[in-house]
Amino acid sequence: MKINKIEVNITFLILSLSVFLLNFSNFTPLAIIFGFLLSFFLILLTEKLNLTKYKLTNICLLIISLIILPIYLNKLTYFISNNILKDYSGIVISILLLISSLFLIKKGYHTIIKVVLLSSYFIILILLLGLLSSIYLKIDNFTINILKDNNLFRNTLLYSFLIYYTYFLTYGESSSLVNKKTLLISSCCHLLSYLFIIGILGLTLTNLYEYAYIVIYKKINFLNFIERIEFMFAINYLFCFYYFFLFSFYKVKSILKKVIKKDKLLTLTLVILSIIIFTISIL
Amino acid sequence: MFTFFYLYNFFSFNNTNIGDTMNYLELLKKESNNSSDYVYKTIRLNNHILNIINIETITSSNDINNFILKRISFLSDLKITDLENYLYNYLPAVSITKLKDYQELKNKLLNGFTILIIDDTSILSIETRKDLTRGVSEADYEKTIIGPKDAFIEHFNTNLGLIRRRIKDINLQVIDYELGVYTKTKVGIIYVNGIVKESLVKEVKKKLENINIDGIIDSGYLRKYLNQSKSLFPSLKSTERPDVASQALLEGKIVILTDNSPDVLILPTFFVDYFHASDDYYQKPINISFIRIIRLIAFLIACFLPAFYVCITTHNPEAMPINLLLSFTKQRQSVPFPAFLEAILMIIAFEILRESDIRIPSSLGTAVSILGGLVLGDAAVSAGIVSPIMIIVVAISAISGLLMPSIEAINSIRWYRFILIILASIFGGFGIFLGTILILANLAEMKSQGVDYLYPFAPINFEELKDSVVKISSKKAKKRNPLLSNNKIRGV
Amino acid sequence: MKKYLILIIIFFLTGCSSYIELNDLAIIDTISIQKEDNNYKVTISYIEKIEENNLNPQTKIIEAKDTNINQLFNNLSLKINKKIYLSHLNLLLIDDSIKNKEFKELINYFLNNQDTREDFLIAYSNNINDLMHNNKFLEINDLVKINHQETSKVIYTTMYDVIKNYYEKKNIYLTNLTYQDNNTLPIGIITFINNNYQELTEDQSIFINYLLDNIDTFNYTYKCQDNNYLNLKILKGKKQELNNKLLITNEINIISNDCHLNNQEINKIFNEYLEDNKIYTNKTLNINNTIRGNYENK
Repeated sequence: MKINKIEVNITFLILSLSVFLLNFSNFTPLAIIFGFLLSFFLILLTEKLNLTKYKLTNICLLIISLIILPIYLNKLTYFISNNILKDYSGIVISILLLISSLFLIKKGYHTIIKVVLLSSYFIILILLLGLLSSIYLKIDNFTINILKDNNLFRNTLLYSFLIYYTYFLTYGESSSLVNKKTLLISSCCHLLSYLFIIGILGLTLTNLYEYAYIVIYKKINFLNFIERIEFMFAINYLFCFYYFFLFSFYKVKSILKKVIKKDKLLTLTLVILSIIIFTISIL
Repeated sequence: MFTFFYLYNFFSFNNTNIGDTMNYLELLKKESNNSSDYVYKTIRLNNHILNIINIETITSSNDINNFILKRISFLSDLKITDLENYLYNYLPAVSITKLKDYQELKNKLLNGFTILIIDDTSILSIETRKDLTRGVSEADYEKTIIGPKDAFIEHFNTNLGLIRRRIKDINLQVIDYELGVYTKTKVGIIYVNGIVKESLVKEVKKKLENINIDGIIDSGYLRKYLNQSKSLFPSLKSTERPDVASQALLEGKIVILTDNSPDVLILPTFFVDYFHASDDYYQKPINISFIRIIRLIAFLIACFLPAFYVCITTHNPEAMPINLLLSFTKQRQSVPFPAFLEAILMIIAFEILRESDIRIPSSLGTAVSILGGLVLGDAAVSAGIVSPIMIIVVAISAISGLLMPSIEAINSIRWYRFILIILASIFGGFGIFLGTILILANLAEMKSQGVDYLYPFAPINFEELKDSVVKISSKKAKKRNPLLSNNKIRGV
Repeated sequence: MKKYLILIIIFFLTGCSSYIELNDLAIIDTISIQKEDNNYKVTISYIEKIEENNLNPQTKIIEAKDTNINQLFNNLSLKINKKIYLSHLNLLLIDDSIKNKEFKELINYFLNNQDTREDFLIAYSNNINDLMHNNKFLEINDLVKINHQETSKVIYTTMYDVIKNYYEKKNIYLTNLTYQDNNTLPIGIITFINNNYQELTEDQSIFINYLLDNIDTFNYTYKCQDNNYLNLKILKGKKQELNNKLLITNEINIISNDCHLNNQEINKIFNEYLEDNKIYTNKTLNINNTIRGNYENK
């Protein structure tokens, strides 16, 4: 089965939403703009020089994925235990996430992409529903302080690194590449959502809350009945974040597959790796 | 050595000479152990001896009397030398064949043909089958308001005739098999030659040829051999309506008819087919879009509503508005069970009611329905065993689960509901998330005869999407499904 | 088959620690916090029983004292036989004794707790005990909300606004409630400025609502002479801040014009009214009114 261009682009859009989970308040508008330009430039370079053929990039990707995975797992369990399951121990949640991702990875790249596509219809619908909270926009919140950033250099590097990494996640298994337009669209989405959140909450509150993109949904209150719907949006974001975790785990497997040929050894190494990731994420 | 010779003779009757036909009669009588419905008649006609054999329970004696015996009685005055060719050419019967050996004789005899043995030299078989089936009637479980209402019956030829009435093209081709060692049921593969892909036909032929089974009583026996997948959702569709079958044929699918079975198999199927009814194509597209969206919403409600209710009332009560919270606490004050146990009990009770509704004879039906309604409704609530909101939730999800046009889909929704309730009661919202991912992964890895199951959604095709969840009619010539056929444009 | 068994065993070993039945929740409706001699005194009213015929649920009131808020809420559960549940909190009442330090501790408690949301109303009152004991379910919330819509003399502040104003070091505005003649009454807005509370009159509260761009409808009466009144209803008011000016635009409907004034005079009267009650700004006011329903223009 060939994977279309559309599918790769939609997966990229959804995976790029994981930027929210990793330090949302650090990505100020200037950081997003400069980070996008930097990552655009880097992606063009990789396509021209065809860097993905060399073994070195695979080794680098492996090491980077193994570094990102524990951090990401840690943040994901905190996200779940703050918004969805409130009295649960984080250990059980992270074990469940690892087991389910191991189970899904065995099925192959095609099924994972189909899962992402199917759920993307609902994810995008519900995210568009979130525009209901635009009623609470206040123009007073848009001051010039938005553009002020203390750590501009660090933030641009972080943002460009994340976009570059998600570009690699969708590369390699299919012949079609991510379109440049989708890179632009994803960065625009991040910028617009940041401005949207600032318009509703204001600069101090967005820097105060860790999950500001969920706090804005707590404000929706129609007729005293359609309220408290941030639960639905939290599960929506959970899908996007989980897919990022799944794809980076799959990247590890696909790189290891070139080295280890037998199936059983591969599963064993993956299980051992997942245990290592889990222990690191607890610390 | 002697036993080997005997067995060799016994098994090599396929190659015996025609001159041993007297042995055939004795063999038949021996093998059938002188069964009472085998009828043997000898006629002397001038110098010839005719032996007529038939099984009276599956042949119509009227036909034998009128078209064979009557005609033969006219021959008593004539002198005919070559009786075999005379009868072969002039008996008023459309399907006369000359048989060569004992095996063919047995096959034809057991299929309802009359056997004429002429002078121990030649064997003729004439078709005189009795119609033991009911007439073409209305569909039982796939009901529509607009559109044709006839349904398949248990007779192979009638079913094929119902399809041929709708597709009058020479490219509609049929391949027959006789499967089952003891039943020898006739199984036919039907396809339209220019539309369907040849690789698919070859694959299905291969699978059917490798079947080695005692007997095929119904088309459901073939499912295992046609690789019904192990997931919960079905991957082979069965229907009892000829218009559904002909629509499928025109899209490039294969239809499998079995004798003695009113259910016809269609393959390959897609997930979207279980949301389409046949009368979707007979009405205005805008009305149909509305109904299809409602079917999708009903599917989601049927799977997720009880799990969502259990999750919200136990793990996440902060997702409820204050008035609902107060009303739910008021209703749950007197209930002794925890929420998920209540849900599971109500669902099991509803499934018991549903199953008993199928099997019960109509004379007892009203009493049982009253009892069920009273017990599950009023009495349980006022006795304080269940809360009224739980009955509402389970009733809504059960009724919306019955909305699908196909029975196998209805049966598999039960499993999804059950799994999601258990996961939601243990893990709350996270359990619903895990359950949906497992269900999606299950659906995504399914392939029906090598074709992706989630076709218009997962490998995206915008043209087909116009006909999947909503129905948008376009003025351009519509294209066929590229996974099923190479012949792209319809109508030419 | 082994895989499924292992999975099922893992599921059931987890213990379902966040499973709770609805009947075991003490749904807390209002909290009031005061500070006496270095001790926080908290009174809670939670829903105890919901009867079938009554619309209002029965509430029960409990007090507790401790030096630290966290410890206090932990110890409160010793007095109730249900689990403390703060997600449906509707009202927080505070007193004179809550100053900067106490605000900080309160805000920290509510922000760092996973279970709480910050969209409840905060109000101020001098006689908290009377209010707590005589408040029915959601009575004060509806009172403040409707008064804000109809008279614009009160303000509906949620915890979000308090947090935002606390961190930006601006004034915190709260409604002022009293208990008189067996009734709870709102008597204007009270501001927390420079670690002190300052009561405002009703007219000044209207101006504060203009400052915060929070104005809804309100009614204004003016007595001209000898029992002749001018009644105005102000439908919409908007403000725009420029460098040194405050632009206010209003839509006014005249209800009764016994004094037979024309539009210019009405404008003058209304502008003077707003100027007299100007508070907390130094900017000059620039007011534009569109008046409807005046048949006296000649």
